[in-house]
This record gives sequence, structure tokens and C-alpha cells, in this order.
Amino acid sequence: MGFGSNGTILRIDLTRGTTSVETFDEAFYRRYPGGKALAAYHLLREMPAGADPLGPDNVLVLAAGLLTGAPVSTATRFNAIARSPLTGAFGESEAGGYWGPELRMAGFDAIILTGRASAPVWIWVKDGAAEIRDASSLWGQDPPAVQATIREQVGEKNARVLQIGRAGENLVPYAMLMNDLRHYNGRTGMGAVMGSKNVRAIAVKGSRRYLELAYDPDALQAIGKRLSQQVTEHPQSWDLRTKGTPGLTDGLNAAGILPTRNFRQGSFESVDGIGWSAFEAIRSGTRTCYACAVRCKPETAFEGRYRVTDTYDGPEYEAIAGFGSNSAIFDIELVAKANEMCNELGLDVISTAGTIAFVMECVEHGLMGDAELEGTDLRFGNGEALLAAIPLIAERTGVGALLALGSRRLAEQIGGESLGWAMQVKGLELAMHEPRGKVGVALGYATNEAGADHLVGFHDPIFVNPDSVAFKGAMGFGITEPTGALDLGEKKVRIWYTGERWNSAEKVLGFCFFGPVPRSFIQAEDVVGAVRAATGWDAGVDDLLEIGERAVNLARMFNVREGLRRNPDDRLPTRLHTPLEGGPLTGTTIDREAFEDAISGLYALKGWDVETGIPTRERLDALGIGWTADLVGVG
Amino acid sequence: MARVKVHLWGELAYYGPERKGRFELRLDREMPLLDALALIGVPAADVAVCGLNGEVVRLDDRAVVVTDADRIDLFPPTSGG
Repeated sequence: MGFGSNGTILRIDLTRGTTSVETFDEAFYRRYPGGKALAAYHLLREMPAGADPLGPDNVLVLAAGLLTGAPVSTATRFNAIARSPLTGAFGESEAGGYWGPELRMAGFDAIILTGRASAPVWIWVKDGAAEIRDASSLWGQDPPAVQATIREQVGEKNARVLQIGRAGENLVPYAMLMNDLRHYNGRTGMGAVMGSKNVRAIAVKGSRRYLELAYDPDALQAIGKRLSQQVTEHPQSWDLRTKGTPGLTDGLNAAGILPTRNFRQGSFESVDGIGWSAFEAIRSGTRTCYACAVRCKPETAFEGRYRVTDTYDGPEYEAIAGFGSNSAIFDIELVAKANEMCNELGLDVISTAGTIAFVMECVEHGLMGDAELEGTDLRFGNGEALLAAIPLIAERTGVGALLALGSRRLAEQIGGESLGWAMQVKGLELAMHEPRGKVGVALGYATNEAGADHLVGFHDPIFVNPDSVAFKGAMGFGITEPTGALDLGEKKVRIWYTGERWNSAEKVLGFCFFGPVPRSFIQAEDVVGAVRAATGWDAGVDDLLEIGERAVNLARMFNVREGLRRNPDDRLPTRLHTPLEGGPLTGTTIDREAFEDAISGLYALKGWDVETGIPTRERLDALGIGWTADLVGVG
Repeated sequence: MARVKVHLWGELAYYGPERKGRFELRLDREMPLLDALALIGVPAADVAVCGLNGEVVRLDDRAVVVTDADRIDLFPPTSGG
């Protein structure tokens, strides 16, 4: 009987050009079941302190979640984890699609890439074996051509290809990874790390079925089948299936939390140009990830002022807000083109759009001009300049050489007040969620080890009304009392602590944010049921929260070793402590003192030193990872 | 008699007739917004923002009355994505 995993990890030493397989027992998986936990464990142990993120000593770990590949909707994801070239901190990004499930079916739970190849390579993984192949003819090619060539070479039309684009080849620090062209590990520059190792692609193909690995395959299959039927019976998953993330734009605007003009304003006067109706006019279909009945992935295709094909995904909401309202552009066709360009070049849309909006504001304030822009007139609202800038970023030429630094490094060069409106934390650009209207999200932005990620905890509007569908979903975690979206008191901190552990557990288990409650339809008890059926472990919600907490602490200890501390690293950009300028929440701000108190309260709950943000030895021991204190040399 | 245009945004369209987000509602009289909401069938607990003719209004304010040719926009609490 299995425990839901292969128990094997593929190691690839690119410097030596060798591959090897390592096995781990069930006891190891109980502590580090998959995804974020498994990857963080190996990164922390194997990357030497202070390694250059783009040097051979960085370690790139690609790890499937515990349930990734199971026939359960939204359990599709894998994590890419390494030291981030954008932030210098713990780097992590998840993607759905088919690559993670296929990796598991090929007999591996994770791939660990170390060293650097002397010339471009790609890696072929099939049914327990791996080989390193020459990629000199693939380097510089567009992603569809690379995917087609690889599939032809191996004679597998459904080989799943994970790859970088030109941005990754050129080591842009916010370059992303893509699989099947449509699914992206967007954040923290994992594409640049793979590019630095001279790896263009990793293709996988396997003939296993996840059910062969499961403790109780019949029970797991029954849960998966029932969940597939429930997708259209729940308002949140029904909405994701019907509209996907582009359906979010209008509601966020109405609530006054649609990032606009580099987060100066919370609503956009021209939202109709990028809202649901505009998007619906260019939508050509929807797609999905492995075994997922939610089917939320939007697809667009049109030929007008621009030609956009359905080769890539989106635009998702993040691109719509980033290239739309936050850049003061009210043209969904232009947004879709910008999104397609980023996908083709392998750029993270959030950091690309965030850095462009930062430059637009610098131009408005006269801190950047003709000398820096080199003919690319990046003013708010100038969509053609925005389109012109994107390929320059991937090639690191013209103004693209500056934009490729990311907003923090660019602000450090420009100086003056600009750092206050570089909307980033630890160097990672904010996702398109305005935290002045949902302050728990600000706690996540400030304290998350990877930087300003919006998927590391629950979003506050869920907890305003205890009779709402979303709130009822959260009751499975013991959350019973409502709190306002702007409340920063003890109740909010406790909810945040629960949410962070739960969302981290999702990243260990392989679930998408759009699967489990409170964001969507899979109840906590069904997540527990799926874990039990897959593994045979007597696990409950509290055990899953502990699994999530352990993964957070591994990431935090990585950052501690790299010298990150509460001050100055767990800090919001100054702008978020100033009033919003437009929309229903005009004048709303995040009180600095209350926010610092909330972080102190959170760290006390987490068992972390309130002054430094370093986990206490006692908490690490309780989580079974006291070894990290010895490794890092604290406590 | 009042004919009102209703737009249920996001997941609230789940509660619309045949799960449609946009439709016309016929009321036999003018009435407080909260009463109209009950006829529409959207749970009040799942409405985060309510618009009446383009202005944000309080759902629980019984002085807010729906009249002929009005437009109602209802938005859910929007989470991440």
C-alpha cells in the first residue's frame, strides 16, 4: 500500500552532467510531504549560505505537492523554489497545468537542479530515467517552437514541457517558468535561475497513475468524483468556472480596491474598458489543468488593432489590473497584447506591470526623462509605449535594461522619494490587490518570506459577514467571529495566522488557491479526506495547519540565514501608510503603529522573536525542525 | 409597477434566474432595496457592495427605495485571484 508519493527524487548535477535518483521513506514524507515543504527542506540544506542566485551554487527545486496528480480537482500544482534573483530571499512560485502531475507519473516527486551546464541543455525525464540533451538549437527560439521540437525529438506528442523564454535566457530577475505554454510559475524569478543554469527546458512523460500510489485508491477516487460534481453547485467555484479571474475586476473597482495609477487610487474611472464586459468580447474559450473540473483558465483570440492568439493563457485578472488600471490604460485589447508578449518572452506579468507603473510615476514626477527612457515615452496611459517596453525588458536593452532591474533596485538607483512609491516588499512587486481595503493582505505582503504575494493568506472581505458562503467555509478552521476588512486587531491577527498556515498547507499538498475553502468550494473535511485516502495517515485539520506552519518556518529560516530580519525587511512601501486618493475608500490608510502592533501579535502567535522575526528554538523544536536552528546558527 | 435593471456581478450571478447576471426585474410597487433583494433571491450576507443608479448605497438602509427604471448593481466580497 502506498502513501501518496513515489518516494523518489531526481537529482541533476549540471556541472558534471550527471543524473541520480535518491529515495526517502514514509517517515520523511510525514514531515515534508511535498511541494513547498519538500522543496524548502532541500534548498535550506543544500544551498550554501550567501550563494549568488544566478550562480552555480543556487539550487532549483521543482516539487510536486503531496496530492499533485491525484484525480481531485485543483490538486495540480508544483512549486519552483530557489534563492530569488529578484529579492535575494526565499524564492517560490507555484503553477498548475500538467507538468507537476506528469512528473509524478514519471516516477519522481521532485527534481533538484544543481550546478551549471557549460552550454545550453534540456532535460528529458521518462518513467524513472533522465538524460541531459543539447539545447543549442533551442536557445533563442520561441516557446511554441521549443515545445514542438522537443515533442518531435522524443516522439511523444503529449510530453509536458516546462521551459523558460527569452527573459529567462537573458537572466531578467523576474523571468518566469511556463509549462504547456499556458501555466506559469510567475513570481520571484525562477525562470532566471533555470536560465542561469543553462537549462532551457525540462520535458516529462510517465505512465504511472496516481491511484497506484494511494493508500486507499477507491476512497480517493470517490472523493474526486464527488468534488467534480460539486463544482457547479457552489457559487464561488461556479463563478470561477464561468468567468475565471477576469470576473474580479468590476467588483474590486466597486469596493474601491482596484489598484490604479501605481496604487495611488483604489478605483478606475475607465473600468468599463477593462471590466468583465470588455473581456467577454475578446474571450475565445476556457481551459483547465489536470483533472480539474473548475476550468477557470481564460483564453482570448482576436484580430483588430492587435493580433492575439490563444497560444498562451489569459489575460488573468493580475494582468488586467497591472497593465490596465494600475498603468491607467483602459483598453482590454492592449492589455491582452501586453499579456501575450510577457508570456511569449517568459516574463512575470505582475513584476513587469508593477515595474512599468513605477517608472510611469517617476516620469510624472520628473525623476526619469528622455535620457533614461531612450524614446520609450512611459507615461501613465501610454499603452503603445508600454507595449514597446516589454520586449526591451526581455532583451535588457534601452529602457528595458533599467526596467529589468525591478522596482526596488531601480528606485535605489533613482533615489529621492521614489523608494516610497516602488510598490514592492523585499523586492517583489505587489500583486494587484490593494491592501488598504483589506489589511490582512497587507500583513501577508509585509511578512511573507518571498515578498508581496497575495496568495499567502485569507482575504479580509470573507470575514465580514458570518452568514456569507465564504465565511461558513472558514468555520472548518474554527473561525467563528466576524471582523471588518479594515480591522487590525487581535481577531484579525488570529484569522491571518490560521490563513497563512492553511494556504501554506495548500502549497505543500498541491492544491490551487481556487480549490479549498474559504476561496472556493472544497471543504476542509474533504481536503482532510483526500489526504487520508492518499496516505493512510491519521491526519486532521490541525495536522494540516502544522504541515503548513512547518513549511513557513523552513522558508523563514532560509531568510534568517541570508540576514533578513523584521526590520527592515518585513515592511510595507511607504505609500500604503498614506491615504488612498480616489474611489469609495478615499482617505483610507494603514496606520503604521497599529500595523506594527499587528505584526508583533502575529509573531508572538507564531512563536517568533517579536524584535527580529526569528523563530524561537522552542517553536522549531515543536515543529520537528530544530535542526534548522543549528544549521543557521541561531537559537 | 416598477421595472428595474439588475446586474449581479461575480459569483452573485449564481443566484440570478437561470444563473444569468443581467436581467430585468418587475416589481408590483416601489419598495426598499432590501425587500427587492429578497425577491431577487440573493442572500444579503453575500453582498459586499450595492449600487443604485451608479451610486454606492447601504443595503440595510430602508430609506433606499427602488423605483421604476432604476438600475441595481450587486457585488460579492471579492477575494484573491
